[in-house]
Amino acid sequence: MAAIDKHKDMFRDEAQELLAELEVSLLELEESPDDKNIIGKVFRAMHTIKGSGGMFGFDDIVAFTHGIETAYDLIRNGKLAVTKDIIDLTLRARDCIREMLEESASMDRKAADEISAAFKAMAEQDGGKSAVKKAAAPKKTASAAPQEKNAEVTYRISFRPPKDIFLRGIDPLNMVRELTGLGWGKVVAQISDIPFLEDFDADACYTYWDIILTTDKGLDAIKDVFIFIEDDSQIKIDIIHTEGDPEHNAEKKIGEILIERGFLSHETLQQVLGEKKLIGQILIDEGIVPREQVQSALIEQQHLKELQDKKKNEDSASSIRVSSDKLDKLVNLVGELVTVQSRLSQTAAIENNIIFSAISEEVERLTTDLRDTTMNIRMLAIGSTFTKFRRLVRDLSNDLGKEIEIETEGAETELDKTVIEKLNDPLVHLIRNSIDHGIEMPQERVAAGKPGKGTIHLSAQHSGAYVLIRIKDDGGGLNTAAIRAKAVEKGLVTEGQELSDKEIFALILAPGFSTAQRVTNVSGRGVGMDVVKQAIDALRGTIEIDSVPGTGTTITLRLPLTLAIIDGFLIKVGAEFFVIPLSSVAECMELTCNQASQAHGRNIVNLRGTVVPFIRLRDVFRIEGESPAIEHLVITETEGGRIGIVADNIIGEHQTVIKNLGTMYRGVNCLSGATILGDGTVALIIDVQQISGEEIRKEQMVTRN
Amino acid sequence: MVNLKFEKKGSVGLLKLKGEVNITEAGDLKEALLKAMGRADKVYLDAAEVTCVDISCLQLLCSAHRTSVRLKKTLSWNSAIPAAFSRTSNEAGFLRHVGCVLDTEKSCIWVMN
Amino acid sequence: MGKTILVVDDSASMRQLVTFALTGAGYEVVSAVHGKDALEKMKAAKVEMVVTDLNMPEMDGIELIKNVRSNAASKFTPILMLTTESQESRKLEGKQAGASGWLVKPFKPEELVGLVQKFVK
Repeated sequence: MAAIDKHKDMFRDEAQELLAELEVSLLELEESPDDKNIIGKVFRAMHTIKGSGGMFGFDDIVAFTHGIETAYDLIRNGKLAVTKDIIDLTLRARDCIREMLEESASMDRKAADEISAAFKAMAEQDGGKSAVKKAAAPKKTASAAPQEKNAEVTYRISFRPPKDIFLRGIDPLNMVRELTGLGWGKVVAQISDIPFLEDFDADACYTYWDIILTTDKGLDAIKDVFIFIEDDSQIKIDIIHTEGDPEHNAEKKIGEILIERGFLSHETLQQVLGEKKLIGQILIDEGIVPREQVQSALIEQQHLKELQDKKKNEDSASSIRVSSDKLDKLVNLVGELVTVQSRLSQTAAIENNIIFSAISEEVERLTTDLRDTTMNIRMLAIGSTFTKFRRLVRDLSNDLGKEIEIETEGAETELDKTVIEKLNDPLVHLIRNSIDHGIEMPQERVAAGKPGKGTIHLSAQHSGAYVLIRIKDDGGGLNTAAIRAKAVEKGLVTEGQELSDKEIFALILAPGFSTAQRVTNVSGRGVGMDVVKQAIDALRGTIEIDSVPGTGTTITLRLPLTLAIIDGFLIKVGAEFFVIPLSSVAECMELTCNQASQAHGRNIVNLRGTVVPFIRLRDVFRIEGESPAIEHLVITETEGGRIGIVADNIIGEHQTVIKNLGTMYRGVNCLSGATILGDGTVALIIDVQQISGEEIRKEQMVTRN
Repeated sequence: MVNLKFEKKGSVGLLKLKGEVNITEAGDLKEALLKAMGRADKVYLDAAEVTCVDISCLQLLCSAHRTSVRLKKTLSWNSAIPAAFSRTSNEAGFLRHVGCVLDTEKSCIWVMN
Repeated sequence: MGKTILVVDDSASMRQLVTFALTGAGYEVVSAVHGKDALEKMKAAKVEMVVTDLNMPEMDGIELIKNVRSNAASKFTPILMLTTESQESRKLEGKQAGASGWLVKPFKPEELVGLVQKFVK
């Protein structure tokens, strides 16, 4: 508003000057009424006052000067003679304009109306042409029929620009771009008019276009593109398909399209159809239709087909809203069904009845499908969560005076709804950490040879039955010395303890750990990374921290796709059953006493030349009884590498409905839950990541000592 | 501004285009193409360093190619369709699967591989 | 740096308003007070587009358009003319002289910017 006021003041000054000049000119004109030069000056002054006045909101001036300008245009063209009356009137008009400029309240409206009427009468002497002109110059109105506003319509636009279009300063490519920008389209350049080089005029445009465009912007938007050249171009716009209009069949034969375009008659088409080749080919071969036209029609056909496919997809993607309570109930029921189904399978195996077994297998298959489908319903793309962080990053970085850009990747990655909900807070915390502690102030960054603007890269990707979520910043990285000092201070580690970088990074996840040197608005609210760890643990996920000083920190969250049901691998040790998530099982092998003893009491085995540590569940859970002579070794893949789990017996695959363990078991790291088997027995679910982590640590301690 | 350079080895010529090729330069490009085809039977275009092109340039190359077919000469890219050309020829609808009627040698410069 | 637009108008307030609208949209603006001045300015700097008023002293908009079109260096330069409703015939004249487009006064600054963007991205 202030800007336009500034312009308005400027206009006022300028108009005052013009009015002063006008006065001089009018007095001169009285002396020499035939001086074209002076007449021109008067006309221009009126014209400028009128034209600019409209721009700055002086609508009364515009209306008032219109008649005067027209009269002087007539005088300029010799159709009206300058008289003393006219000069008197104009001088009075000049005074009126000045008052209008001042926007003074005391102005004499009546006098102004009289003057205005007098000039109008003069102007209309010329057959009233100018009055008509004013009425006949309506500004473009949005006259598009309402149905054109929203319905998606597909148009065929043939556009042949004037040959001299370049010489008018217009680039036809801009127009083509503008058209395709209106929606979704295909462009075919028609090049048949391009001459050989020696006849080629470098300034001319020989190309013309067929554009198939699907848009909901309406016909007027298309016509607007051609607004400056519509009179000189050949433009033909046909509707070839309207959304939801049964008359426009999107599936068109090439022959029909060519007939519509006027390149082919019905008779010829019928004649040609008698032959048994592809119609397009025949038409080209016989020289009935030029090849370019057939090509262009083919592209139209293709566009329509794609349009139809798109519609089909959209239709099938249509959705209904279901309350999440209903979904939760469904998931619970499926869980129960899975449990019952495993009982059925077990019974069938015991009964040894072929028909019974067949039915049981069928039920098992259906249950698996049902389970997957149900789980799929609960899957949501993580994108909406990612989007929320943009705002967070923007606001927080502004608060801190940092420049930070957030990049996201894999927004389409799907995760269980519950997981996504529970993931929000930990992610907020991690991103806050990156903004607050990770990314340095712009000047520090520049001094370190990095761009002033920091980047946080947020990505999600599938990895087996897990989803990996990474928060990567290009900040200063973790300060291992500071973390170690702090950990020693807090009594988490001892002074001289040897720790790998990874172990040091993991320390920040310990309860009550915080290295922030001051409390800021962003992080440091008393909740540290340990809260993040708890939340991720609750989701049966893991956190991995990677950091390079000066380059940045990457935090990887590994989360199970779903919380409720997993494919498990059932094993038995003594009388106890255990489930290993099938997704982490790599292979199984037998472990003889012989092999075990070769390692001199250490739990390692040679697997095709690689040393793989293993864990005896019998030892971990202190299960009574002797191991059999031949044990089974289940090799699992973990982030820390491969690790074997020793079992007495392998039962096989088992669909596992996860039940949480009570709070009493919170301290037990190696288990992620329990499940109920078909016969009612409880099997514990092993958290391979955790159990192997502990074992690998122990193994490393042994190696070091 | 376009920078045009022609080199010839035996019957093979290489026309190197650099920079911006638009309507202002169309006249110069036309002369360069005529000259190149007059001097060599096989003319290759090196346009890897062209930054942007417009319709005038696309249709001019089209004309040059037609002329080369009629003169039983060769005009083609020295590599795949250069980036600036593939971008604009795609937007402007020049890029195609099959050449035009005059492309009897199946050497159309706008055919995608 | 934005592309340069030459704004030609004898009215200082119009020049200011148009300049304000165009610089706001990221263009560089050079201004001239009439046709002759505009031709001088075009010799001095590379201009991507011309936005001109029609009625001006010394050299009017139509003459300016003709001059721009007859110069090899500027014959493809887009020219937008600013007209008023009562100048239907002048608009035709301008078109014949080689104007690329026109805009009728009074207009809103964003209308002008929209049209300029049609020609110069």
